[in-house]
Amino acid sequence: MRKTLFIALASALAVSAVATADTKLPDDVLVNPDFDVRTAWPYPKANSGEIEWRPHGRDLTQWITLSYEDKRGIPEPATVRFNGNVKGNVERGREIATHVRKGNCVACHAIPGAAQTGTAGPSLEGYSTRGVPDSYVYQMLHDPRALFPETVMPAFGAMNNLTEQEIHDVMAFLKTL
Amino acid sequence: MPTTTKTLFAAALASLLTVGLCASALADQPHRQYAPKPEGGYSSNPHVSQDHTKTYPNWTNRANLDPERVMSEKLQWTTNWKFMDPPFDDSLHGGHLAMDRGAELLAELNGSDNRFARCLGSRDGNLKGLRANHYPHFNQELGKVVNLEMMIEHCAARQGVTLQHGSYDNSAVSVYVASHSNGMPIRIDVTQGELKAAYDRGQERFHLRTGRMNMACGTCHVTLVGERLRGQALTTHYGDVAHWPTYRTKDELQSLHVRFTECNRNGGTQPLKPGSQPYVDIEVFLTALSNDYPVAVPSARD
Repeated sequence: MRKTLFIALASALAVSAVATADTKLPDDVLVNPDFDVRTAWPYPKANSGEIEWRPHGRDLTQWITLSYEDKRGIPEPATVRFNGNVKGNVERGREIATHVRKGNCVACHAIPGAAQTGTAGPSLEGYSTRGVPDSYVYQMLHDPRALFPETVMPAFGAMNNLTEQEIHDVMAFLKTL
Repeated sequence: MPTTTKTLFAAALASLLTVGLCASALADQPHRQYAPKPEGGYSSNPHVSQDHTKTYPNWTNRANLDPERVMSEKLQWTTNWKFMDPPFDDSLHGGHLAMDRGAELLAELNGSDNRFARCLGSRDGNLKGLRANHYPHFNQELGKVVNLEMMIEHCAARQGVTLQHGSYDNSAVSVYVASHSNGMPIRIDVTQGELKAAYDRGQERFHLRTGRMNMACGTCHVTLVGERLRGQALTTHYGDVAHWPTYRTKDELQSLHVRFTECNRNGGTQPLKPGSQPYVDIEVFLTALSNDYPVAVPSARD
């Protein structure tokens, strides 16, 4: 009896459009392999008993999830060395810093000219006048945990959020603030 | 051992214990990070008044919420502001439409013998108290901890009706069932058995840092509570489950697990399916942190 019910429930769940084709991913992650961006989310369309699955703006499957089947970890904090000059594009840097799917620096930091900013991190207004060395900014963007082990700031370089070029772009943008 | 080495060793050991890792598993465990728990941790028998932000006096009775505090940019978060929660606000919104639809759907599923209500755990068809102190619970028949929405899906499926967990109609039925517990204090016992295990697991999941931003639920609701993220004020997680499912003013009726998928996406973490074990465990954890806080539906919020 218990088994029958369990199978009934399992098959009820299986009819959803969401399936995990990638065997490396845990079974309980919300992905739809048919989407260009596999990461899916459930839209509860009005007056329906079925969920409408929609693609998220960014594929998030490469990072660890809350699933118990997920055995992945994160990189240990690492010190990086900065050599040479900042070779970045200010406009691209601004786009990365303010875009929710990219750097999203504004979520936590006040940035002049940006809307809906946050207070979790210090304001970046006048950042270029504070005499912060490039090597420090680079370390903070690449992996701030090396300097502040408990920081809530993401490791943008070490955790594959931003490319080397994008980090340079953000550094160039910070020099204009 | 030199004192510095000893101190370092002690510090390393302490941090390992904090994150709940077993020392013997050190060698082959992947590196993980945890957001710190509130000072003093969590009680094994939690109660809403233990709120770590000490703001509970401001929102103990929602009918007496201080409107000035609610409107204050700086202090709003201290009201644990769910701005259209009854009885603070009883204006008509999408949550009421959902509740009406839920009543119709439930009546159909009930038939003449209250079969749907009985499947949900009611003895005589009366839905009173189901939401406040029957869910989540360990279901012997299914062999796992279930929440109300999972049982709505399950009981509907028994009759060949699809009410997917997280769908509008499932949440609508959930709001209607919850309305029979309105004003009743939430109470689940997490001091023993399967619910205790789920509570402990939920606590661990709540503080595990995940995703591209390396964020835990606790990053926002413990470490950064009271701050703003992308314009949104971060509030305590105590007392929060009382008003779910809720009507979001972007015109979306959300169950708690649908909200979790949004929390995850906002924090850059790949979301899980509604009803997945970690989500159920986090719900048990949050429900226990709402113990003795009254159910309040239909609610609406930004």
